[in-house]
Amino acid sequence: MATRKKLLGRDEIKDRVEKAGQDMREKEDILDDDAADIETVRKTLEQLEGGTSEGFEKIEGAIEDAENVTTEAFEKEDTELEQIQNESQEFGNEVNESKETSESDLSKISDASAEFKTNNPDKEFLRAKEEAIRDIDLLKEQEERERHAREDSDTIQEQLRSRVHKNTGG
Amino acid sequence: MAENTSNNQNKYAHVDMKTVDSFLDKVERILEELISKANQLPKIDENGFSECPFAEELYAYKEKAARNLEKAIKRLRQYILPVEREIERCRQNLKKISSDRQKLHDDEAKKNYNNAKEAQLSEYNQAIQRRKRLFEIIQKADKELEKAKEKKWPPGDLKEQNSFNPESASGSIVTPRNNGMPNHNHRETPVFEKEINSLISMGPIGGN
Repeated sequence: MATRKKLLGRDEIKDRVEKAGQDMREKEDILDDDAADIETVRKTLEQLEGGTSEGFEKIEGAIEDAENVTTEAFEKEDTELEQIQNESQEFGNEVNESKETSESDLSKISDASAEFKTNNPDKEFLRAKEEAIRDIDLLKEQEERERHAREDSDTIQEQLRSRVHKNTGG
Repeated sequence: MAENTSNNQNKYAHVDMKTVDSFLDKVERILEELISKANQLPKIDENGFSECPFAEELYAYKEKAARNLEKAIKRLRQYILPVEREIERCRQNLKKISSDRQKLHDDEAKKNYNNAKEAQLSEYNQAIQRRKRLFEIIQKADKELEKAKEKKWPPGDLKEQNSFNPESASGSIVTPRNNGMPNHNHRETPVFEKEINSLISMGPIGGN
């Protein structure tokens, strides 16, 4: 059999792809809340009517503090989402490598089975071949699932960023 | 009433609250001055006779204090509109801060909004107190002006008192005019007498 860097179980692959997708969605939800907070704070600042008294500076200052807090929170969550996406992509690469290894295994099995003329070894090879095909299908499916989830997350992240950086020149 | 005055007519429509506060202090001082002067008035009879040698001056001083207060109150009434506007501004800001706070998810930001709300509430309370003080002063001033009008100098026209100082006057020796008799001719001054004498010395008018 071919040498695999690391043998990943089918369930483990499914779980990790599922978890990465879930983590991204959770982060996106948090980022959505943060973006909504930033929008709310900016609206407050825009709509507060300034007075001629000195007290207004204090009020405006407190709301500006809220804007800083929510912006910092967004930046932090955004960095964390980026990290989850990177990790997910790394795992996607690993899945892809496993898939390529399985494809190579399948090719070797097919080559070897052609050399045997007896029925018994041929049956063994057939089972191994079926197993390799199942592996490849699963890895293909999970690789695609990971990529879709990450691309969707990327799109959402960009939308959230543009909401936050709107009218800020950022 | 000032409330009905449009912005165009009210030149104080956009006055800042610091100016209003300092003007309220000033009007209070003017009001206290009138009260003090009105309380210092000596007793006089219907002809203006008084045992106090400078009764007329004291009445004139009270009149001047009353005129100052009337002028100040007229201006103060124009401050009602900006003071009411300030209350409304604070009320609207409070409403906005409270409703926007409800929408927030971040606890730290909520705390910041609490601080903003507290500061706005303090401004709002100040604005309410300012309005209360303003109306109290106007009310008190109206009352004192009414009281001051009752204490009138009976003979009518008072001499103009520009630099009279009752404190310094009280320390000087003043002889009552006309040996204690009421003075009906306040225009009889040394200059006036001199003018009469000069005319007499010219002889009869139209004589040959």
